[in-house]
Amino acid sequence: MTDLCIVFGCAAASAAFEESNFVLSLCLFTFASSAFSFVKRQYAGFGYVSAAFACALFHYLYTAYGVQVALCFAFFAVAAAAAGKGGAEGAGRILFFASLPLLAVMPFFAGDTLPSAQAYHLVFPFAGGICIARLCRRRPACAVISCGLGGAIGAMVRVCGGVCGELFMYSGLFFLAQSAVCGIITRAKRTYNRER
Amino acid sequence: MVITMPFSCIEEAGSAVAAAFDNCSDLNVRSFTCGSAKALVITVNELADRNYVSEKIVRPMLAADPEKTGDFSSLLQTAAYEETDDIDKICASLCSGGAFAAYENKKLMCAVCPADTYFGRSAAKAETDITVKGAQAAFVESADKNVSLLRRVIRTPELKCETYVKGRVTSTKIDVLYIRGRAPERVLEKLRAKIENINAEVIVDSGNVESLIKNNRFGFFPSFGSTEKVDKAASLLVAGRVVIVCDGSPFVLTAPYIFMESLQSSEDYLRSPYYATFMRALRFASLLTALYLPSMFLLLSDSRHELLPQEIYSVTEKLRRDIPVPLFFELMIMLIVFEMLREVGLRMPRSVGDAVGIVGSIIIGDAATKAGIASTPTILAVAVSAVANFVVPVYMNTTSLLRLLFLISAYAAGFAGLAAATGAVLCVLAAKCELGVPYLLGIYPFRADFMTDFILTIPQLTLGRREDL
Repeated sequence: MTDLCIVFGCAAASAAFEESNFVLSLCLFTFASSAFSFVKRQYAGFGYVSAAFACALFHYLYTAYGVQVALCFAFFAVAAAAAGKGGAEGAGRILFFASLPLLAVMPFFAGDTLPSAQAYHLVFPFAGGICIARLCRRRPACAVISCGLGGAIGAMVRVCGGVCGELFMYSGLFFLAQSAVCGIITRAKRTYNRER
Repeated sequence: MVITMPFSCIEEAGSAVAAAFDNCSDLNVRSFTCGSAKALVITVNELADRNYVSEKIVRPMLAADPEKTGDFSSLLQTAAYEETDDIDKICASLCSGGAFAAYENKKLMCAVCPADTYFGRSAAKAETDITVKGAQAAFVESADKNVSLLRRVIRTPELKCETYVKGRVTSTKIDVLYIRGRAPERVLEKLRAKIENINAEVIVDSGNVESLIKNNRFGFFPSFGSTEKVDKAASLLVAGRVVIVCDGSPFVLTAPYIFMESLQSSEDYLRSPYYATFMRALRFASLLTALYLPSMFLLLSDSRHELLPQEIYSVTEKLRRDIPVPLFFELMIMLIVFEMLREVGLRMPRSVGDAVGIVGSIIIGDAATKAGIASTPTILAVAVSAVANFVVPVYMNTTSLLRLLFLISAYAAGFAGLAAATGAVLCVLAAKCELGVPYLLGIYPFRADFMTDFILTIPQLTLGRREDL
């Protein structure tokens, strides 16, 4: 009934915000991922959604973590997304499993809170929810339950912070970044093939 | 000169073969008469067994009564022969150690028969994948010999062997072995199609075959398993894999190859399951150590030293205080020097290579610390990472490159860079699929039955188990 990719994506997207924006981000991600799970067809518009998601996410990375982190994420996300959607989904699941020990010890190694995103970055949980829903293709009920779990994990990451929270966030944000780039590349490939 | 029409007389057959082997001084042509009949035997020096040709081909021909000789079945005493006047087939047979025999009495008869002599080494002990317990036999350079070594272990007619000849110049024999009913048919179909589509001039090793049939020719990770141990190849055949034997190579390829196999050793099934489980966990930990130790050392002692206990940090900091080179460059230099020493050890003759490797590493390490170019903690981190790299030899080369990539990522963006690089590598691994089988099968897609033979080793159950690929 849960999808680990949605849990992971939702946890990272919601933990990027604090206080009221945290709740808003969680709601947006849950709404987007469940609502767009109904959509079965592929529309060209999803390419623009992925692009908007990527822009907002990389702007957040730039403002919160610096230009080096944003560039590094962009470089590796492009390299990883070239492997395809299956690779992005698989990497998300494995990264989430690898991050589980971090979640287990996180309360014991609480530290500084993580840098927070601004209100205008709220576009990225919404667009991210759509992209992750397109990537995983789960039923809406599954998306809602997964987002609930993701929200709980996100809240824990936001409250505890510290080095464990930081590592979890990096993994989650990278998964979101590669999903965004993967969405763009997939759409671009489809358009290119159709025009040929 | 290529003659495609049937030969009209024995002289024409002889001259056609001689013309095809123009300027080949190692061609051995023997023509003789026996009564009213004329005979001709052609071989290539040292490829065909002289005694065999003399005993089984020439002598029966000389002793035959031309009046009673109707066909080759009563004339040749070889184990097999094939009547042909196709010059390409005759040339191919001669190049692989066969003999060409022609006999003309009232009509002309031409045939090729295998007469090759094996001048390679006999089965020896494996030099890689060494085990203390268990079988030690290793493959040799002859494909036929390797197939027979496998047949000695798997004594069933269900072990099938399909032969292909590829390489326009080398005409290399490639044998594909599998156990019918165990190897998945869809895997076999894909493999057959890939081998049939090989379009290469030269194939001299199983490594050439691998690079020609793998999905992504610029792939970063090994796509096929490679072993020189007969018992390992046999157990993989029983598990439903396909073995590819290439003439001229003592290493056979196994397909499909999955990541989990890299942690397994044939000895794991011969010793205590607790110890085998411990060893596999150790191998996995070594793989992670080889990949991450230099980059984690950089992060923890340079930018994120608050994560280290104060006592450890103060010792590291004290030893590094007088080093003029930044830690990143120090690590890079030491890693590259280590790779150089490893290459020397591999390429030089063993007696020289070992000495250069040991002496070089000790002297260079000592001199670097005394000269103040490298600190002892750095050398320790590089050395531990280097040793850990050899624990899983399949990924030895890949790990060396990824280690540098991780180090650069950690230097560029700290923990974020390391996480991004790890994610990218995992993405490539998760997307990798060879012969329709995912590379991370068992992990992604998750399969509980594979987990009994990953790090955890369940005794007995795994022996002879057919894996559902």
